Amino acid sequence: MKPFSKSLTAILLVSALLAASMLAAPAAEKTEKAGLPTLLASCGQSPGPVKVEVFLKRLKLEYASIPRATANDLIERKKKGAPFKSLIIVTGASLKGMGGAGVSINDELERTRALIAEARKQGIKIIGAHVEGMARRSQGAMAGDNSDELSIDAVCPQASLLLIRQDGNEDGRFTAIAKSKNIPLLLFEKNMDLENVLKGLFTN
Amino acid sequence: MKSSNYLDRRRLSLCAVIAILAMVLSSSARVSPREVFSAEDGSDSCTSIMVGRQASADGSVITCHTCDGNYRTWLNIVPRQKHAQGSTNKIFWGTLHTESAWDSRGRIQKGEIPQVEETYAYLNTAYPCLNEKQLAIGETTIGGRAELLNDEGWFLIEELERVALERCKTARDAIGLIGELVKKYGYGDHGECITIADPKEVWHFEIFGAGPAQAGAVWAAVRIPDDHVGVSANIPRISQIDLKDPDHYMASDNVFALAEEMGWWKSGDPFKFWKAYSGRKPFSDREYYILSTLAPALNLKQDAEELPFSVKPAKQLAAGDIMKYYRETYAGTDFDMTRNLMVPKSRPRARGEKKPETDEKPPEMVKSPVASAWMGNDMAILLNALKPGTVDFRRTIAIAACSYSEIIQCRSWLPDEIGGVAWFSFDNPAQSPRIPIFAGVLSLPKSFEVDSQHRYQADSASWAFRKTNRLATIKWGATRKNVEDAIADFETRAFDELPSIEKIALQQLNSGDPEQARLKCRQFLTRYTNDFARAAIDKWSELGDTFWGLYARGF
Repeated sequence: MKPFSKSLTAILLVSALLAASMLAAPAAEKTEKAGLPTLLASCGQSPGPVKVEVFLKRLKLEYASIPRATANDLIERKKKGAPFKSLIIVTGASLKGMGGAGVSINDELERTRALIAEARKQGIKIIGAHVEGMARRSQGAMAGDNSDELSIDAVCPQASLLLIRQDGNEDGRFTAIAKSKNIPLLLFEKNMDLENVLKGLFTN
Repeated sequence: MKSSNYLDRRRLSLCAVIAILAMVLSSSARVSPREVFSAEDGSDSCTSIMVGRQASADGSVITCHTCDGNYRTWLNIVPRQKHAQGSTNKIFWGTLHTESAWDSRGRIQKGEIPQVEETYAYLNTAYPCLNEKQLAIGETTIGGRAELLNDEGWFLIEELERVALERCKTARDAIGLIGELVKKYGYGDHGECITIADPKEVWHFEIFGAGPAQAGAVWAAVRIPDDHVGVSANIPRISQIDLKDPDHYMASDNVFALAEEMGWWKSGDPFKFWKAYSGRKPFSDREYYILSTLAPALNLKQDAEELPFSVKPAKQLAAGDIMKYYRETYAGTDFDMTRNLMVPKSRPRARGEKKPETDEKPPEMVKSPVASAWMGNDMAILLNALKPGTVDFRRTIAIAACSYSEIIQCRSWLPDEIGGVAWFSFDNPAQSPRIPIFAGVLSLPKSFEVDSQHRYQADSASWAFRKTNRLATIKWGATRKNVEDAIADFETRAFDELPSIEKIALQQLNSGDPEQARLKCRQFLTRYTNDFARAAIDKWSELGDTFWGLYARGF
C-alpha cells in the first residue's frame, strides 16, 4: 500500500503542477505593464469595449474610446504631441453592432490590420482583449457565422499582450495563441476582476 | 410633366412588384440567434399596451405583448406541479430559440435556485405570459445604456417571467419576487420592460443590469392608474418616481445611487428614470400614435420632450379596440408608409379600342395593389432609390416579423380559470385571427407545439398562418378584404360565444365535488379553445389555397 500511495501522491502532484502550468499564463503576467493614454477600440463592434470602458472610467485612467479607430486616429494623436502609449482592441463580433455601424466583418478586419500596422510603427503596445466569454465565441452564433473567430485571428496573434475573460478560453484557444506566439496572457475570472487587472497593468 | 410623372409611377409600380417578390423569396434573417436574443441595439421588437380596470369597457385589466422578431413560436401549457423538499429550479439562457419543449440545443444553464413546494400552471410562450391565477405579463425590450449590461447575472427577462408566473398571484407579488431574485442572483439581460397585470391592477416595470462592476440590477415599477392606459414600445418610459407612495411606485434600493455613481444624475436635480438609465427620448411613433389617438383632447405633440406616462382614454376600451390597435399600420395618417405608392387606376377598354397615343387627362391615381406597410427595408430602399422620399419608414404596430402576440384580459368577477383569457395570435397581428386561451386550459393543439422559427414544418400551427399571410402580402390590395373579413368573423364569433361559454364553465365549476368540478370546467374550456384554434387554422389554410388560385398565372 505504502509504495502505491507514494506513487499516487507523486502522480497527483505532477498532475496538479501540469494543470496549474496549463492554466497559467505563458509569461509572467503580474509584471506586465502598459502605458497611458490608452486607446480602446473594437474589432467586430461587439458590446465588449463598453465593459472595459466602465472599468477604465472607474479607475480614472487616461483613455479614449473609438470603437472604429483607424490608423489615422493614431497618426493624428501623434501629430498633436500626445501619442497613445497602448491600444486595447476588444475582439468578438456583433452582427447588430456592425450593421448599426454600416460595416461588414471584412471592413473590420481591414481597418484593424491598418490600425495594428500603425501601432507597431509607433511602438504602441497592442493589447488583444476578449471579455464576453463563450457567448462571444462560437457558442450561440448562427451556423456559418465565423466572425467572432475572424476578429480574434486578426488581433490576438499580433498583440503584445492578451487580456481574456477565462470563460472565453474554455477551449484553450487563447492559451494556444499565447504559447505559439509567446505572448503574455492575462486571464481573469469575473467581470469584477477586470478592474484589478487593468489597475495592475496601467498603474505602478 | 404629367406624362413623365405617369411613366415614373408605372415604372415604380412594376419595380414594386419585382421587389416584393424578391423580398418574399429571400431570407431576411441573416442574424444569429445570439444577436436576436441579445437585442444589443434595443431594437424595435415588441409592443405592450396596458389598460387599467376603469379604463376598460367591462372592468378587465389588460396587458399585451407582441413578440416581434425571430423567436420560438412553439407554446404549451405547463401544468401545476408539486416539488420535493430540497429540489431546485434551473435557470437557463437560450430558451427563446429552442424548437420544442424538449430541445436543449443552445440552452445554457446559468444556475439553480431553491424550488418552492408547488408551482402554478402557466401558458408557456417564448416570454411566458399567463398563469392559472390570472397573473399576466407582457414584455418589450428597451435597451438602455450599454454600460449597464452585466452578462454574469443569472436571469434573463423570460426566466424572470417564468419564475414569477410559477410562484405569484398578483402583480405586486411578482415585482417583489423579481426584485429579490435579481438582487441575489443578478440580472444578465439588456434593458427590459414587463407589463404585469392581475385582475385588480397593472404595473409597468423597467429593469436594467447594474453594470459589470456589480451584481444585481436597477429597476423601477409604476402602476398604471386604474382609469388610464399605458404603453411600452421598446423605449424606457418611466419618468419621476415617488417611493413614498408604494401603492403606485416601487424601485430597487440602488435606483438613485447607481445613477449618481455613473454620473448620469446629480443629487438635487429632478430625477427621471428614463433620463438616467437610457437618455433616449422616451417615446417614438408607436407610443405617440397610441396615446394621442386614445386621448385626442390632450393634443399631444410629437416634438415634446416626453409624453404623459399614461392617459385617460376618451372612451373606455373593449378587448376589440385593443385588437384593432394591434392591427395598426397608420393608414390614412402622415405615418402611412404606403401613402406615395399610388398608380393609375386601370380602365377596361372596349374591344378594338386603341390606347390613346397621348394621355388626354391625368389618370385617376389609386393605391397600388402590391403596396403594404410590410414591405421591409430592401423594398423601401429600392423605392427610395428610384424616387427619393417615396417611403418614409415607420415602425408600425403590426409587423410581418411578429412571431406571436397576445392580448390578455384579467377579470376579477370570474373565477381565475375562466377570468384570465389570452387572445393569442400567430404571425402578423393584422393578418391572423385571435384565439381565446383561458387561464384554466389544460392543453393546446399539438400543432401549437411545433416551432416555425428555424425551418418550415408543415405540421406547425404557426406556419399555417404564416404561409397564407406571406402570400396575402404579395398583393395586399387584392387579398386584404378576404383576410380582414376572416379575422372579423373569428372575432365576432368569439365575442358572441364567450358569454355563454363562460356561463357553462361557471356552472360546471360550481357543481358537485370541487376538484371534479374544476377539472370538468377546465376540460370544457380546453375543448373550446382547441376547437376554436383548429377552425382558425383550417380557415387560414383555405385562404392560402384561394390566394394560390389568384396567383396561378403569375403575381
